[in-house]
Parts: sequence; structure tokens; C-alpha cells
Amino acid sequence: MTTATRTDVSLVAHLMRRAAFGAPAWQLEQLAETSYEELVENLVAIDRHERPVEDLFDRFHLDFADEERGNASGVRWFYRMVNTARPLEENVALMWHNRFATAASKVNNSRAMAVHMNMLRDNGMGNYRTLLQKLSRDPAMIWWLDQQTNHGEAVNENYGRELLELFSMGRGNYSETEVRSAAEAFSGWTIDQTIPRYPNGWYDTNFVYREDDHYHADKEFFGEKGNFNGDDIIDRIVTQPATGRFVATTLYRFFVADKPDGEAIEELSDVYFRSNYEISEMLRALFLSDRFKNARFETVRWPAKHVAYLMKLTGEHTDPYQPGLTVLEAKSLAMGQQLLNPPTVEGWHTGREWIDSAFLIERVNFAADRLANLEAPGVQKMVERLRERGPSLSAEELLDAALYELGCLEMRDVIRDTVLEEVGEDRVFDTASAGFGREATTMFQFISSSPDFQLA
Amino acid sequence: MTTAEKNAPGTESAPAAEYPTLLRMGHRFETSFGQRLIIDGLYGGMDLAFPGDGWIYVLNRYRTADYPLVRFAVCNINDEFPRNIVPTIDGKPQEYGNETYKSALMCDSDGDGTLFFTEEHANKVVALDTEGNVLFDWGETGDGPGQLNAPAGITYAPDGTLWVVSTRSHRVQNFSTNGEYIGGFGEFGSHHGQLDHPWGVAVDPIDGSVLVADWRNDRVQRFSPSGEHMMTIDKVGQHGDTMSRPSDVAVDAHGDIYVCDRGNDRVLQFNPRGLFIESFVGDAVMTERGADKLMANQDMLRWRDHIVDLDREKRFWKPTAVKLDDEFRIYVLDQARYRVQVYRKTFRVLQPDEVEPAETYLDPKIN
Repeated sequence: MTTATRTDVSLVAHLMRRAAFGAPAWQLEQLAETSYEELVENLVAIDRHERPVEDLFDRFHLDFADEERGNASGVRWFYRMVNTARPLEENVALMWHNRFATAASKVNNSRAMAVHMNMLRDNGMGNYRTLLQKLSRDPAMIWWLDQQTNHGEAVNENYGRELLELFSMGRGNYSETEVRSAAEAFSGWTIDQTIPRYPNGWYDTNFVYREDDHYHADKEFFGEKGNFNGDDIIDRIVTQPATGRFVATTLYRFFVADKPDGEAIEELSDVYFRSNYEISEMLRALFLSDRFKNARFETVRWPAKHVAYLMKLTGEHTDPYQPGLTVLEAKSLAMGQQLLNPPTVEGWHTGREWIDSAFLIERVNFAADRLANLEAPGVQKMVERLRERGPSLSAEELLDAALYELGCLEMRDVIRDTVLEEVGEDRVFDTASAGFGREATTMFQFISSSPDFQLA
Repeated sequence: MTTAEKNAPGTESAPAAEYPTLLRMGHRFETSFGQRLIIDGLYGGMDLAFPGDGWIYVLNRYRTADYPLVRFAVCNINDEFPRNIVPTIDGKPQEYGNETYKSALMCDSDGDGTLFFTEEHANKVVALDTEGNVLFDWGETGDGPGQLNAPAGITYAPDGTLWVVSTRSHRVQNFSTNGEYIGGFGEFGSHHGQLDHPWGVAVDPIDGSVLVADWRNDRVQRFSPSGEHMMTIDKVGQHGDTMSRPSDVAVDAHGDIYVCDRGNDRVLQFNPRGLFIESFVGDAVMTERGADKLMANQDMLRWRDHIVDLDREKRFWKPTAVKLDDEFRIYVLDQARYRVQVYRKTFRVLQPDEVEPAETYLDPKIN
């Protein structure tokens, strides 16, 4: 139930799972003291909150000082996910990272990938036109799609094609004429240098426009003719109806459901055009929609979000001194998602494809391991709250309470029955006993091993 | 503390001498050595020390999996890297993936064959010989007197004791080399005399005072050995330029202070009263071995031909540690460029009869 001043905890939980990285019940209860509209505003209006200060992260991760190691940016990103007061900003960056999939495997330059990641973060919730402009000038993207080989006298269509197909409109909404013209318009958009690292480390690489390497003749783009440059192409792309639908679908798939709803897409697309392409306006409308509110547990949690969610539950890695952040990055990789290294230009295959047998084992093992750690402050807090429910709990009461503490989760009856059978349906747990902590974490482990725990 | 107080110029601890005793002529860039190599170079360099055998021992923390190894690269200013040593316990070098010491941070030496390094996660100080044999380690985790919480800077003092920074307890402590607690000071804060995540430490060879790189307060402070605040250096030059996250400090035989202004990619020199003298931004030249490396990698060689701005290659990138030798060389661990840059101070020591009488000398406060 939502009133003007309070929000149902389960709805808060849903919002935090999707727009943030999840939260334990005790945090959800605090958030529920606020109206839903204000909660959404707190997420969307990112300027209300400071970004996490990262000097202590840098201080206690001197191994990354040279910014060279391939996992450096991924590790930093996990630190941000766990500690940011702007979780939606990181989620949106993650969404665009998948949409504009650019991978370290080809770029082979951690510093350029860090710049790319920050570009997505800085512009992800802003104006889509600006985002495409920044994307087209991003050194990692230029290298990723061979844009440095796009010369006026020898046009390489790679970036022009992907800009239309994968980054803005989608197949079937343009012709080969537009592809050719876009490619010609972006000729001469390159980087000032490649980045040799031997023997003394990186050199920054920067976007440059080489006028003498640009194709200066007239191009034709959606019926218009002119000596277009790259920004002229972007100006025209963002006005296309297909682009509105494309952006709306990207947001819907990430935040609402894997299968887009035609009516919802049209509504979001309408916001795109009315707001003059502002992503934050689309997000606000999306989170306030009934479609979003009702789409609970309909998506498979992305591996990176799965890892971050577990850290939010266990309260780990809020202190950058704590070793082991690199493990988070490695675990996400083992679950099928290495940040800054998507498998192809199409990004990751999401939804049910996150769950194959190997990935599922990693997800379950990681969750079960972390939720069994009675030294983790978040686990201690959840166990303590379970104790406060009374001197004894039946198996069913403990299951329900544990589901609630883990973020107001739901579980299908068939799974519940299995868990209760494993635990012992008739068992009664003495919450004051010394062994209750272990019994509680065992229940957490049963829950985290279930298929339902993988859903967001 | 008010902003004005916080932004006040460095407070001087001692009056100027009646006449100038030292003519500072500047510094010559002498050489640079080291390159990005795991075996015969630097990778994850943190600090360096001179154990007295004529070689320089550069401490490297190279992360292999989740935890780093600890390696001292034995080298000299001619870019010779004949060997490495790793901590060896009972004749057994610590193994990849199963290390006893994983998070070495800073080091120093007694100049007589013993190296000391801090372990920032194990909260230990480790002593080893120049073959890597661990002689002993000590350290108790905690924030109280004599305990360690993320030990960082370590310096071997002229009196034969060790000063160790305990970063997360915001303290600086004095120990005998075998770990007996002698004394210490420090509390969290930003007022004069307080510390916020201090990093490097040095002892002034002239008066025994202790200088601390007060990392998160963007300044260096001088304390008496008993912990009385004597001086704060937080301004650079006439225009109020500030330090940014200084990581290390060293003091030469004249009392001149060298600071790794890590966040600004430079090293600063101050006189004993905290007045700014000079800054260094790096002047490295590629070594012959570096050139050999490029010749062996023709792709790199071709790419290098297109580099827009090679000037950056000369400059410091995250200078993290600074050490001095007896011949007034300044060694800067240029961390993110996998090398050490070496400068040498030039000067004249002035005798009283070389300087005109005091009445004709400028008021030193004009300085």
C-alpha cells in the first residue's frame, strides 16, 4: 500500500532491486517512511547526493596505481555500486555499458576503458544527444569499432553502421544510404595516438578530428542532403521515431521486463520526445508507472548486480581497506559478466541466459558463502533482527522472516515446500540459543540456493 | 579550526639563522632507472632502501591473484637489476598464492644489511637480510599505543630506532628494531598536530624531530619526538598552491625537506623552516634496456613514432616514495612509470667569514 507519506515495504524493495542494488529489510523499512514519489525522486535527482569519495579506495588499492591491470576499473565499479548514494547512476551506466558494449578484450587499454566507464557514468542519465556525441568521441569506442581507420578517402562503415543499428535505431529503420552517409560523416573522427605501454606505462589518448581526413562531399541522410559531419548525423538520429522507441526499449528491458510491452514503449518514447531526449525524465516516468510497480520478480538479476546485492545485504566492502574487492570482480566474471569486457558488440545475453548450469553454481555458491559469514556486519544485523521476533520460531516462521530480511523476497509454494522439507517442517528454533546464528544463516543459504533468489 | 587558520602559511618552527649557512644552487637530474618488468625491473613499486651493500632495494607489490607478492628488486642507478629477493622463512621463499606477507607497503634499512618493511594488512613490521631471509617480524593489531592498524611509512632513525606510521589509527610510533614500544603520538583530525591517514615518515638528522606526510590533510607536519607539534607545511610558493595527498617525506643533512606531492605528480623541496624552495616534476630519459625492449617489439616502436606528446614520458606519475643518500642524491620512486628518478643537490656550505656582517643582511622575514 502506498500513501502520500509511506510506502509499502515490498514496493520499496522492488524499486531498490531494480533502480539500486537491493537492500536488507532494515534499510527498506527506513526508506518506507517516505512516499514512493519522493523515493523515486531521490533516485532520479542524482545531484541531491554526492558521489562516493574514492581517495581511500586509491590509497588502499595501490596495486592499481598504474591503472593498467585489466580488472582495475571493474573492481572500482563494484566499490562504487556498493557505496554510492547514487545507485541509479551506476545502474544506468551498467545499462549503457551493455548497450554500447565496448570490451577490454579488444581495446586492451585499462586507462581508456576507465575513461569509457566514466563517460557512461557522467552522461548516462543526461541527454541522449549528448551521450551519443560523447560516445562518438570516446577513445575506447573509436578503437573498439575501428573508427581510427575511417578515412575520407577510404571509408570504414563499422561505426556508422553500429551507431544506427546498435546504438540508436535498430535494424529495419534505415537504409544502406544512411549507413554510408553516417560513416562518411564520421570520417576523420579518430584518436591522437595509440597507447604503447612499454617500457614506462600508459599515455593518455584523446579524441581528435582530422579535417584533412574527413569526407567533405555532400551526404544524404533521411532525405536531407548536405556536407554533414558527425554531430549533424547525431542531430538527425535523435529526432527519429525509431530512436525514441529504441531508447525506451533499452530502459524498459533493463528496469522492467525482458519482453517489451508495446504500449509502454510508446508512452516512454513519448516522454523521450517531450523532454527533448532527457534520460532522467524517462526514468522518472518509468518508475512511477504501474507497469513498473507490478513487474516484480520478472527478470533475472544480472551477475554484477547479484554480487553488489549480496554486498548490500552483508554490509561488506563499505570500508575500502577491506581486502577482497578483486574477488567480487572475479566472481561476477565466473557468473558470466566481466565488467568492461562484454563478449561481443551486442553485449551480454541477458534474461534467462544468465542462468546456465555453470553460472548458476557460481551464483549459488557465492551467495551461500557470503550469507553464511556470521562476521559480516549485515549478516549479524539480520540474525539479530530474527532473534528479536521472539524466543522461538517455527520453520515456516523462520523461512518467512528470513525472506523478509533478505530484502522482502517472495518464494513460490513449490520451492517453499522443498525448503521446509529440508529444514524440517516441524522444527522449532530457539532464537536465544548459541546455535541460532548458524541455523539462521543456513536458512539464508537455502533461500539463496533457490531459483527464486535469482530473480529481481 | 577556521578556514583562515587552516589556510595559514606554514608555521615556522625556528628563527632564521643570523646569516645564510647554505647556498642552494639547485638540483641536477642525474638519471632514471627501471622499467615495467616483473623479473628485472619494477612492477608495483612502493618504496626503496639502501642496506649498505652498494645496491638499491626497491620494494614491489605485484598483485598476482587476490593478494600481492612481496619482492625486492636489487638494482643500481646504472639500470642493472641482477637479482630479486623475496621474503624467505626458514629457508623457504614464500610461494605464489600462499604468501605469509601479502601487502608490503614501505621500507627502510639500518644501512648495515637489514631491511624493514611494513605489512599493511597483517599489521606487522618485517625484518629481513639482503638475501631475503626473514629475521623476525612483530606487530599487534589495534589502535592503542604500540599497536598497528595499517602500518605505512617506516624510517630507521639515527638513534637506531624505528618510527612507524599507523595509518588507520592516525598515529606515529617509535619502536626498537625488535618491536618494543618506546612512544608515539597522533590523533585523528585536521587541526595543527592532528593527523588524517598519515603515510610517510622521516626523522630530521639534525634535531631528531619527526616529519609526517599527513596524507589526507594535504600537508606535512613536524613533531618533536615526544609529539609536540612544531610546524605545518601546507603551502607551496608565493601563490598559495597546495599539496595534494602527499605520500612520503625525507630530510637531508642540511635539514631540507623533500615531499612526494603524489596527487600533484611532483616532488617539493622546503627549507628547514618550511619555506618552499623548488619543485621537481620529473626529467626521466628512457634507459638503454627500455630502448632494447622497444626494438624487440616493433609494433610498439612504430606506435611510439606517432606519440603526440613525449614530454609526458619524462614526468612523474604518482611519485610515491622519496629517499636520500649520503651524497645528496634524491631518489624518487615514480610508481606508475615503473622507475626511479634520481636528482642531485648542488650547494655550497657557507662559512661565517664568507658572509657579510649581519647588520647588512636582509630581514629574513622578508623571505
